[in-house]
Amino acid sequence: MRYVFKTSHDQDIDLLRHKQDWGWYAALAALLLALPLAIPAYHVSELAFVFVLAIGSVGLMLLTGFTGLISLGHAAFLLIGAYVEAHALRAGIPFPVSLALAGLAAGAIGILLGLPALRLSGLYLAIATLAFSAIVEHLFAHWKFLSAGEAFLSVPNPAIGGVRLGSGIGYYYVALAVLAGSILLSLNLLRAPLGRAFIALRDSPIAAVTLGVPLARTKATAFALSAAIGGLAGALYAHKISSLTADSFDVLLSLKLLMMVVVGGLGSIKGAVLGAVFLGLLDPAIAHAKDYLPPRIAGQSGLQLAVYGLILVFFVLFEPQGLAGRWAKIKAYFQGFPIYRRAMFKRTKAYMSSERMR
Amino acid sequence: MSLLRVDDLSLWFGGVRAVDGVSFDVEPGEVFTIIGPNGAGKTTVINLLSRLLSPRAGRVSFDGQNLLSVPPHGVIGRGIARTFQNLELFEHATVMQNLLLGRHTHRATGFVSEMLFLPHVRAAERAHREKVEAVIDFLDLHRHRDSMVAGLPYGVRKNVELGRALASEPRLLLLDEPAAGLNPEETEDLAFWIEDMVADLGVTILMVEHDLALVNEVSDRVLVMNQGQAIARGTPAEVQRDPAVIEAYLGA
Repeated sequence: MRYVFKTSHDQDIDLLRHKQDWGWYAALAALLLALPLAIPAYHVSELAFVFVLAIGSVGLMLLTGFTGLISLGHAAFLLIGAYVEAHALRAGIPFPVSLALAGLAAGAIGILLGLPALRLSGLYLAIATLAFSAIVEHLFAHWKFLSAGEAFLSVPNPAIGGVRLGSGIGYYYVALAVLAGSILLSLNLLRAPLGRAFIALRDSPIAAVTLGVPLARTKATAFALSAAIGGLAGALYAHKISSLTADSFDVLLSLKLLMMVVVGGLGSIKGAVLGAVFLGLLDPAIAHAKDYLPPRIAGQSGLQLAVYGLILVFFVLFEPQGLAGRWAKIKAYFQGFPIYRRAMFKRTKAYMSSERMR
Repeated sequence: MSLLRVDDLSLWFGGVRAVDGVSFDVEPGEVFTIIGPNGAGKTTVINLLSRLLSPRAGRVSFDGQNLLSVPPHGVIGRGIARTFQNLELFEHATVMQNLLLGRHTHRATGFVSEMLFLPHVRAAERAHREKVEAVIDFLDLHRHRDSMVAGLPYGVRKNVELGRALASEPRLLLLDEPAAGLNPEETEDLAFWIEDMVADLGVTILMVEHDLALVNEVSDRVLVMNQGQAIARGTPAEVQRDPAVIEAYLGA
């Protein structure tokens, strides 16, 4: 085992625990920055889309994984972000500003959803958010003021420094930057009082209140932040599909986001990214597998959903801590070789309230 | 002047008078204990004082100010911290994070600066950790500092909860059955800590407890409750001789 000899509080406060980790993350950053130059354009844009999903997943992780509030309607925030982005660009607002607007607008709506949701938790909150997303989807589909009267709202393709955002490489770097930014901001929050207040609300709202955490304000803040990050993801999503329709942000997308955080591992930002990567790779893998499956199975329209369902059941049953938990176990195995025991992680198998669906 | 003044406090749930016109004062620097048979309304009094419940009638003033106008999350800001009978810890967080949450009431940073983790946020974090470290020293929690609460033994969890309350630097500490579930050795430790908290940290303690040995050892004054009413008060020795108390406990 690697024990850290602590000599100052900063060692606990810093984002990375070991000096070597800086090297690993620098290598990862270098790889991600260099990758678009080495792989075909198609893969670049696929990868960029995984980043966009990961942004949404990080946003939902703050809400579901850390604050313990389940949202089955997170696609609605992506939808709001996407439409705000499109309208802002069409109105001539320059790109980074429009992105910020998309985030702010989604965040504001997040507060509006958060307020009535304050008294709800678990299954009831899941249903309320589901209803919310259905309402938002219909509003944007049918209200001409929001959809500009077009069934497919075209999204302008702005340029930053001469590079068109819609083109593979520009999109890739913007998505990567926004993802890195949202991860960093989330991690910062989680090592500060507000992030701890989120965790407190998740594990024991009553104790949180007696310790001075204002329930309503903190829940609304969690909703707002999560929605704002979702809005950023939505704005980038808009550029990916380039002509917007409310149908693209249906319940399936919400479920996909929720699956990312569950499969990734509730209560871990790393898990949110791992879950997004996993699901981002799953769709191409399913499409690929269709070539080898008997036609009667491959032709089923529900094949993708069935695979999603199976994977979710598998994770809930066998690895409730998700990919992040698996990662931690593998790390512990190698760091502690040969003393790793299955029971080392046994005790932590209690379920979090966000999983328990009170 | 009394630190806490409770006057004619009443709360009833339907036809059940959980707390029925209870009055008492807690002086600064004392250990004031409420005892009584099960269902006497002791925990309800604690819940009323921490504002998790609102009374139907009565007045509560803390340090000369009306406590009943304070929202539940504002109570700790006035200097009243509490522990719970059945532990309300943040299970999926480390001991350190739990104790740091005890410092939440002293949070002085805004959420934008926290997201950017500006230098003053780091400085504030360091200061909080410094205070928490003192609590860890006091309660001997070093070994468990970075452990997840979920896996810890009961006695340690009980200490973590006490530490969390203490980290807020309270003036009045409400302890709801602090010795419940502890072994004799841990109870002995608790007795020392209670005395130290009063003597060294200047904390006033209002506790509910069933362990009469502990009550005798640390309490300055005792209030006995039965069926929502205060039936006796005085020093531990006095109340144990009180015929009303003997009747309540033994049903003689």
